[in-house]
Amino acid sequence: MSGLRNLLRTLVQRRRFERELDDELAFHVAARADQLERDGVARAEALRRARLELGMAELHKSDVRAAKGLAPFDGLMLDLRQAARSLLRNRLFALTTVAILALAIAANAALFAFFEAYVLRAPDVRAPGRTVDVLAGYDDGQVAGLWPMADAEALAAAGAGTLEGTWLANNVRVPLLGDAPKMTFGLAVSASYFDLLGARMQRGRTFDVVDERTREPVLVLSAAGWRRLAHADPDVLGSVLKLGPTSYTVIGIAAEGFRGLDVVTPEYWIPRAGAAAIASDIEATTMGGVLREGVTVAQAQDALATALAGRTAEDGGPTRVVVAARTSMFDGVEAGTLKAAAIPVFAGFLLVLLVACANLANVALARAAARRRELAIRVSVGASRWRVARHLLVESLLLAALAAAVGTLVCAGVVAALQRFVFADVGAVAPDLVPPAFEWGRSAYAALLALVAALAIGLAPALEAGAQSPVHGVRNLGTDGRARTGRLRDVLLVGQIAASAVLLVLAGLIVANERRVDDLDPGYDVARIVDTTFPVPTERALRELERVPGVAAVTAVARAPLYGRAWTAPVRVAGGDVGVGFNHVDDRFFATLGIGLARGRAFLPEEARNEANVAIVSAATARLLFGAGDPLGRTFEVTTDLVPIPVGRYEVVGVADDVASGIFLEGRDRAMVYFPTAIGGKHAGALLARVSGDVAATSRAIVDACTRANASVLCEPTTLAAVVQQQRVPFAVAGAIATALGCAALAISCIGLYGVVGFTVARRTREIGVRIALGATPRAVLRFVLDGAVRRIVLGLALGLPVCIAISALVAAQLEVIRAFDSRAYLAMPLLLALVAFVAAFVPARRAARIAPTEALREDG
Amino acid sequence: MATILPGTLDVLVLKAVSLGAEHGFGLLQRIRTLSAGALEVEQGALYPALARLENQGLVDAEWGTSDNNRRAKYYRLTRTGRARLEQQRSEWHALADAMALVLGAGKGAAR
Repeated sequence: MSGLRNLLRTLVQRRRFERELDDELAFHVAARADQLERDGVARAEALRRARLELGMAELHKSDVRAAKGLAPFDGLMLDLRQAARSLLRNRLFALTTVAILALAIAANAALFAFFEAYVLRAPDVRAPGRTVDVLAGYDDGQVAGLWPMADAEALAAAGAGTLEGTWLANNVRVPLLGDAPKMTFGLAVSASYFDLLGARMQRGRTFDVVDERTREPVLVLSAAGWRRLAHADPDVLGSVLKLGPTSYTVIGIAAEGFRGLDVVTPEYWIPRAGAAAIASDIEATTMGGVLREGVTVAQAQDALATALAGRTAEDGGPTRVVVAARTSMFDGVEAGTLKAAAIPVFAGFLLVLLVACANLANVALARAAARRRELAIRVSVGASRWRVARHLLVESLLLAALAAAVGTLVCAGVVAALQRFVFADVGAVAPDLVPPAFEWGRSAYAALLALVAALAIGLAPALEAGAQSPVHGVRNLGTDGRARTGRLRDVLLVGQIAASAVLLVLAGLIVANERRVDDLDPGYDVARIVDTTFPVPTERALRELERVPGVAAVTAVARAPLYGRAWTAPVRVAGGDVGVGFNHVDDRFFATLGIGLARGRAFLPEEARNEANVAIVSAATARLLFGAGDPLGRTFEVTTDLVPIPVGRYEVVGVADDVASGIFLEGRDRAMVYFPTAIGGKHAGALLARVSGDVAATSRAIVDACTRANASVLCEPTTLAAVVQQQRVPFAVAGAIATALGCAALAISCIGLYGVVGFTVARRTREIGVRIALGATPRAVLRFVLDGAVRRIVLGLALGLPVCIAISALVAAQLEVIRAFDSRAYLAMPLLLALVAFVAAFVPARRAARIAPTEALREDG
Repeated sequence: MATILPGTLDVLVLKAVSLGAEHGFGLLQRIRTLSAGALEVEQGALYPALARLENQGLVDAEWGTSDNNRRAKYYRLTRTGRARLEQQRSEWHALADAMALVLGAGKGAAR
């Protein structure tokens, strides 16, 4: 222990240590000389003899340093100084290496930063380890967030022993009315929410059970909401915010750090009690809680399960309780999904780093080959092979350290920029996302990547240099070492091309799937059907909308189509239960959307008004439920009360053409059943309009019509075509990332190929000169040089494509709607890669063909 | 003049230091005087040995002034150093006695 302390002290005060060592030896000489002088020797002669007796002072000093344990550090410092000098001499090489590596590291570190912030980091709450989500599990293995109210109450009672408390929460999206109305996003929560999560306030108070009981319309702003909705007005407490039809009084502002549990921080929290007016689907709720100290997730889950005891799949609702620890900004199930989904993304990013490393290893090998003479001289003047290898390793470590530092800086910039520009405009409500701030964890990740990169880059040439025979090296003769270097470099290059092929083909597949949006023929004119976004349809709204010039027809539906998958329910026919998609529509729906009816009729107005027990099925559903027979007049049964369709027997009165109303990847609906509803009925939830005039102008008129119908409503009319386009966003993002990665890999690989071919040409100038002198035509030389490059490209593709096929098959097995084998992706991308790579090889190869034999032969070998 | 046995330099230096704070040159003199001129420590070997002992915490060093009014580095035994010296001395005696027994044995002693 004292040895280590001593060593550290010496390292810190190195200069002083050296001075004292000199002084001590100087004293020794002086003392001995004094002694000799006393014996009668003249001073000068005495000093000379004293020095001779002591011997080589430098040797003693180095022994003392070794005894102090300083030798390895001195060696390292020497290596570092040499490496720095060597890199300064080759600035272009150093800069390129650092730049390529830094970018690859930055991309990986940025990805890690987002992943860490959203999926790994625990939310900032009072009891992060004990905060849980209570999720609804179904018999088919699905897990969802929403509970029916009755279940939620039963669960809260059952959990009293294992949970400190529970809360319920619903999303609220409602316009804030005033001079400039705008959409807002908030959370309707139980009063227990704040205490359980440990809400911190900067002003005012949270609401409590008293507010809840008196159904007082009070509101707590989040710090972000305070800035956005109240312009950070310090006197906002006590003022009124008009959210839709309800006037809420602001009673508190949460502290900056308190963001609740979700990725998007709500702008405000309001009591669930009394929120029904602005949160339409409050009858189903999410549920969370905090475990009592010492209670495990499994114990809580068992206790809560008693609330659902006796529940069977026939009832249709949740049959299991899933308690999942809240370890991140997503609930446990979502976080698991995200972690699984992140694997291919991380793999893609790491693949780019790998390509960069392979490329730089190649460059380093080439450089080591060019420096054979220098390294061999070092070995022959007595440097150990380990010493030479260490020197090369230190050089690549230094490069990697620089790259890690630059990469971390770039990463911080990239993260900040993405945070500002990309996330600021997602959706109508600019979401306030948790900032992925600078974290040591991320720097450590970057450092780890850099270390791996350094080893990858430095190891091959270091081993090579260590194994080299100095005699051959000094005379710059080829040895078996060169053949091995060449092979290793070929492997690296082929690996790069294979990795680029994988990334490019996958990018192609994603883009091809995204393009399917454009191929989708929904079966009705989505460009002219506008979702008015009027919250709850009223007769008044209908009349105002119908009066708008340019609006040809208006219809009320439960849910506008194309906002993701249709709701599904089991219906019972003679053959058993069949899962179908469903929607409630009024009597004008088919006419308004222009969906044809192959058989039968549309709903009658009185059927719609009474929400009668009749149904219209799509042509595909008719076949699914009734086979080839005539579906008209046939019936099916709804047996579960857990879907919003009354239990009962329904008669089919019409067969509608198949259309697409779910997600675009699935094409037209496989099974769609329409039930009747009307404005004022239980189910009507949206108003759609068919626009005959100019869509933009009519949309503006629709906004005014909405406000005339209800002063507290701010419509955002959207064509269904735009809704479909929104579905492509995740694909577009994934496609952009994959394309960027693929292009980066391709560029790096091509630079590598260019370098390798160029290097080969440079090294074999003499040989090529001989060939030309012996009568080889430029064409033959070109073919001879390109031959190797083409072989590498073909081999790379041959290795990369099977990997692509394996990944495609894997994805296709999991997501059947994804088209995993797209001819364009599998043909065009490898072709593009081959072409670009060929050009990269061709340019230096042409140089070889132009070598003048006399020049080449004169060159010193 | 006898050569110093391998591995015994450190204990000699330790003993020399134990007689009172002294600089490197003085320690050499001490060892020679104590051995009646029989043991001569090589000058260059002394300083690495001192550095080793200092690293192990067996001796302490501080700068002082010599008889001739020069600045010199004085070494002093630490508490651990004293304990180590004691231990090594008894080890040495045990070894030396055993060696003496073996080497002094007459014919037939091993029967």
